[in-house]
Amino acid sequence: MQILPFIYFAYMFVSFYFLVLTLLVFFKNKKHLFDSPVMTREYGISVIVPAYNEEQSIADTLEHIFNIEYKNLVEVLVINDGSTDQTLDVLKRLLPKYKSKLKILNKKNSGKADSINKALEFAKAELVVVVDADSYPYKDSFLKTVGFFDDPKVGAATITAVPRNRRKFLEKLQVIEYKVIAFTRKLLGYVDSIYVTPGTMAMYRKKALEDIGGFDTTNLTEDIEATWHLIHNGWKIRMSMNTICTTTVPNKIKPWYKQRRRWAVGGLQTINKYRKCVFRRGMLGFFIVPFFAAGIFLGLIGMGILLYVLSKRFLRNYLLAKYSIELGVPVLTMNELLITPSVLNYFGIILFVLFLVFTLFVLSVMKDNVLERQSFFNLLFYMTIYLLIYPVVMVVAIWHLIRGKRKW
Amino acid sequence: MFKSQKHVFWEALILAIFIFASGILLGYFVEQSRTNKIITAYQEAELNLLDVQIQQNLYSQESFDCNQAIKETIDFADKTYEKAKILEKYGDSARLTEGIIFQHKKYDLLRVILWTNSMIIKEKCEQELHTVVYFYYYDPRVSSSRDQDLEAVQDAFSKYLAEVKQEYGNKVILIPIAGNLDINSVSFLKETYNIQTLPSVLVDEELKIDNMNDLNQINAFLS
Repeated sequence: MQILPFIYFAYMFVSFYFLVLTLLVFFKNKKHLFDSPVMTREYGISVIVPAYNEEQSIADTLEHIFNIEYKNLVEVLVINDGSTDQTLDVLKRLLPKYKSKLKILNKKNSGKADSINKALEFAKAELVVVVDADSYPYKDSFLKTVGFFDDPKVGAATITAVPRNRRKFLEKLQVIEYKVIAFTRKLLGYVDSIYVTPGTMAMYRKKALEDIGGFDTTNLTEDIEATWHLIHNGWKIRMSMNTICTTTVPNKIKPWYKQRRRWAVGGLQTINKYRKCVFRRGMLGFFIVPFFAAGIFLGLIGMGILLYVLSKRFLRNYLLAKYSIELGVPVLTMNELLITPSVLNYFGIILFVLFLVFTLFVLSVMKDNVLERQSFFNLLFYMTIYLLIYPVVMVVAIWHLIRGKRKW
Repeated sequence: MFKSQKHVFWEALILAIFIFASGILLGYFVEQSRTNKIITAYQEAELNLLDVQIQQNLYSQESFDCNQAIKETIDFADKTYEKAKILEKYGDSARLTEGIIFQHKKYDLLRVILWTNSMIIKEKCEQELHTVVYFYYYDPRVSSSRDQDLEAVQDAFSKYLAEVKQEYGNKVILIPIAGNLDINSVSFLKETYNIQTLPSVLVDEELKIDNMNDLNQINAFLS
């Protein structure tokens, strides 16, 4: 037996384990996935909107926020993070429309985390909702989420983020991705393992954010870091799956790649920061950190194996073709076309089919028309190509971290 | 409303181990059935080995029917060659079961006797018959762990020799023999014909080729 098959099997087992875990949690909770907690009191809410060069979307974002059906909206704090476009002018024009509830804070550019921290100093309400400047929360977003905070241990609640722009191919792929992420995040909530409260829209108990000293300004994914920090300090995170907030996703490769690289660098920074918590600090150390680290490690290993096997095969086929031409014999013969698959090939195919069915299943649970031909093609592309790019981005992120590049 | 369900980690682990182990077991049986086919084929080879040995004794006698002997030898060599290709593919795809080097040696012995038989026939019959013996390097490791250049060179050798066999048909007996399995008779023959590198081709115990670029000499030699 060689070492490579062992690595294959280990890789497949871990992937299979996570699949089984997700399905088990789903079947135990399928009736309550879309339940919202009952609202027993209307907590005061301060909304924080960090904005950097958002002249195109900030007015619509504010309109959506002020349209939310909730009586105890205390204030909306928009922090203009040194925008170089007309964001500030747009905001000033909107001031009369929203009267005293809209407050504008203007400061030099210092990043998203620092902007939120500054706004936190001004926030008066018990709960704080952070909304990205290009995100549009649904009208019932607060009503369906605040109930979680009846439990005094709950420090944050997250929602389902959905891409708003979904015409282009890359956007459609992200629709699938966001739905799978939302679904698995909801399920992880049942085992106290929600690992991120995305900035699209997240609700925090102000006391909890103060407890962790606000957002980490050195981390490129301040939302992941804050979530881990909250769990580290004993706070619980919840998710309301039927609370929707739409967001704009990158529709070109370059901004998409930059966004993913930022996520990857931030993820690595967070793992590094909490590495000492492994097998300590409850679910953070026993699941979240190892789960994240294993995900990255397996992705890299998987990509390594794939590249190794493909490059070897390519090299051999290239050499064989070259020699065959030199010798004047056929480049391809019937004997070469007859492939005898190994058990590993069968395992790989079965695992791929299982994940494909799982993703179809997730999309159907998330009310997606999966039977559409176009959608199915997108799904196949997502499974075979899109997900394969992740480890590549991760390698670049590691390289960036090594070289000390930590910018958005 | 909310109840944590951390015990699901253990349940998932047990379930995953159970299903995965069942899969591995199933995979093992699939491979085992292939291995059994190979072993059965090699067991047949043992029978054939005895048969060929008897033929060798017969050919050592003064008189025998040359036409019949050549026909039998060529048929047998072709059958052995084709079967070996299938068995090699099965062997290549084995991941859970151990390699079958021991059985492979039997097949190589069979082919050595086939070669020596052919030598006797060539000596005693005056008909046109050529032996093309191909000494190759047998590597039981998974394909991606092997020396890719050597693999490509050997595949190119095989393709070229298959073309030769196709062109000359029943005038040529193609005998591939693994040259690295420490079989005494193979080592002896390699020494006798000064085969020092693998792969090498020996045509009619006279023309030795160990360089791919010289393979075209075979055609010149045979025609």
